[in-house]
Amino acid sequence: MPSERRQFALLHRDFLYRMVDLELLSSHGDVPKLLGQFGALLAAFSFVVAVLIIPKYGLSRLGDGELSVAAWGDEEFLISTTMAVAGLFAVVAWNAVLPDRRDSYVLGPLPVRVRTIFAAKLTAMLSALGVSIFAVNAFTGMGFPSFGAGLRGPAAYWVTMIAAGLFVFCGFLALQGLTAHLLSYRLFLRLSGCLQIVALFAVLSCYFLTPPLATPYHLAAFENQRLLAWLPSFWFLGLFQQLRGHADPVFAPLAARALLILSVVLAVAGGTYALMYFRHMRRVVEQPDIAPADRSRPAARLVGFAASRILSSPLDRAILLFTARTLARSRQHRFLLAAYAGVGLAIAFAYAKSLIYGVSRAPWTRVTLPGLTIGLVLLTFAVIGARAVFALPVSLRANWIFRLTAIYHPCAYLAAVRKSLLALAAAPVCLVSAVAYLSIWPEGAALEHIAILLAVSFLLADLSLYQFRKIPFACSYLPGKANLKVKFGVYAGAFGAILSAGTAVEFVALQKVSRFAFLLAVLLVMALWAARRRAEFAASPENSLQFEEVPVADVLILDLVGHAVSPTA
Amino acid sequence: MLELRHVTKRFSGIPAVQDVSFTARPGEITGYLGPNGSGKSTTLKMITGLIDPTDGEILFAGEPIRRDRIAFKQRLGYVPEEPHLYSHLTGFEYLEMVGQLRGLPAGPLARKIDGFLRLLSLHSDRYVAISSYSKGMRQKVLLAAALLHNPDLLLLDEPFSGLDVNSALVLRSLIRELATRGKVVLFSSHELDIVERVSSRVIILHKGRVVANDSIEQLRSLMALPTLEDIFSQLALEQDTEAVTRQMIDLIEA
Repeated sequence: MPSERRQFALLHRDFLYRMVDLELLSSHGDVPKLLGQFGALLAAFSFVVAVLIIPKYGLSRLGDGELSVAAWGDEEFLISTTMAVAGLFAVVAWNAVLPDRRDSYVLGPLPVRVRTIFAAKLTAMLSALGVSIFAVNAFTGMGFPSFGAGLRGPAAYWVTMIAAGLFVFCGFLALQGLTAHLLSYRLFLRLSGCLQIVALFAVLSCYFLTPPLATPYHLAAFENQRLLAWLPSFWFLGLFQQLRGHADPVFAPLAARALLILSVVLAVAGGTYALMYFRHMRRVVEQPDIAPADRSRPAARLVGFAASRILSSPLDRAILLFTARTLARSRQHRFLLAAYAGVGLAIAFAYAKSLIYGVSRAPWTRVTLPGLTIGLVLLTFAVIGARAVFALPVSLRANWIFRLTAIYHPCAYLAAVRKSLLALAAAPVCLVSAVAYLSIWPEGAALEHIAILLAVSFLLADLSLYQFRKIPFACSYLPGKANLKVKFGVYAGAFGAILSAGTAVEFVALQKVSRFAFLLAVLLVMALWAARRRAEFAASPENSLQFEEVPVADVLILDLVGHAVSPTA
Repeated sequence: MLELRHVTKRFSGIPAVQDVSFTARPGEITGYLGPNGSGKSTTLKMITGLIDPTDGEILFAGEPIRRDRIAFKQRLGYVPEEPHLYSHLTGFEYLEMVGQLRGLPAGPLARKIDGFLRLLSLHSDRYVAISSYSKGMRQKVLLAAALLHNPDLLLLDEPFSGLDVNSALVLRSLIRELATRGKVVLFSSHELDIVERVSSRVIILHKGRVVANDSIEQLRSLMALPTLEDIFSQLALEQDTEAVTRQMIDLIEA
């Protein structure tokens, strides 16, 4: 019988490397190196934050007591950042917390006890969480002043950060555990993907929309008490103050709440996770992974009917339905799209926060720059995100069916891809934006902004699909083509500049009908130019659908054989 | 008529198929045999256009297939060796997608899919994801997908793989019936008794080269061997099966 300790060590290492969904990564990716890079990124963030916030306390002439109060805002920021990192880790590792079908098939027949697998999985999760929390606090945790609390200060800091991180991670674990117990396995799988995306949005919303209440006045204000009871970062701020000693009385109820809810979350997560694990190993083998919608249901019928009515060509329907079904059922693609949407939401929330808590507090009911920006940001990230996700394959070896059935010119496929991008990425954002803007803004201004959004949708779709020669999810993906280290900064800078300039122009244009008409005409001309450029590329005779991405050769072959003239000729 | 003329395929200079020439006629069922790695699937993939030959020419109805690949694909039905399918789709959705990609109109397509699913005993699982299908069920989906558009040329690579006895009998009979209706049928299989019963002629491939190309009766009389299995063993087997078995048993018990 092999040693249980040895089995545990092997499994722990394997589970640790698989904590992040590896199917999202390059097949040639070096997992330890990648995890090291993530850790370094978090530590770099901690360093930048430490450099920005710590020196001001050292240079201040205020006393410890006053400085301690002045630091509440920064402390709340550090706590909420730690919670956001733990939350994002929980979201990324969402599918790794339970044994999957492969684990069950590979480990099930082997002489390994379920308790060994469980212990290895649990310790791998906690190790990865611990590393994330440590990395994001590496410099702030060492350098944050203790304001006269001595060694108790750093101890309180680390205990609070670990407790806050555990609270978020175990909260999501408890959510998964409860859902798994209450629902059938199929329903759990279907709901689990949605919960993962909801969790991502919840983490981002909490991080970006938490109001700035870390002042003695706001914390003591009676009208804020109900709100504070719902803001976890303030509970842990209370816990931090209590642990460090000499806490303001306003923190006592918050600290008590933190301890109570943390205990409940830990107990529920521990209990449900252990029970779920032992049940899950068998269920995962007995039942299928994917449970498609019952086509006899009215919603499924409606989708089919709408697809057949909107898209008359069978090819358009085939590409749209394949794309929609893949996005709906492939957790890797769905999550990646949600990540793009999450970044878009984060930026939109930052603008929304300026509307809610900003100095001007411009009313929601008036056309404002942040209000205009939110719709454009979400639309841009939806289209760019969907375009990026289209390039990642699903069941790559099954793409032979597209090659074998390629009976149309490539431009017909590429036109169908464009329609799919517009229908699945741009249309939902425009629809939601239309409802939102029409319900809060005057009708005229809302309709004008929706018209701008529609024009931008077409422009973005055609720009992003220029030189795209793939059927979504049916071409191999070669990572590392772009130098992201350089391009990311350039793209982010360009996006920020275009966004602020564009919204400023639109804001001015919406003041007068003639200006709006001119702006819309300019956008439509640009959209037409982009559409024509894309269509010309798609229709070029030498164009063909791409099913394999090949690396650029290190040596350029001139291919002169056919044209060479023999010296003896 | 399908015709291969001196077809060769090399992968990084290593030949997988060498100078293969044969003809498969309408109404005829051609069995394509060979041991693992002999180049059968590579030949079929070249005929489908999934890979290009390094040398040689493939013709269908007298025309090189590379001249108008789209027209050729419209007449081709193919069942690959490995059941690579989009497993996140249901059986119905997969067939619907294949039919739409082939440009079949919605109404007749729905009726065809429904009929195939019923006849292949997949109807009750039509809305279940392919990921939970058994190997035989996947094979049936591949068969239905290959036949949806009534092709003139059928390339079947191990079509009986995973099928239960009943389905295998139906398929055998179906292949015969399709051939009598003028279809060109080329099928590769390791199940020699099925090939012997179904095929009008066989091509045996060994190390990428054709070592036999004739009707089974002709081969039997030429080689003075009673069964296709004996003919195959004589032409394409290199190992002494008894000796290999003994060595494996020794290894297991060591």
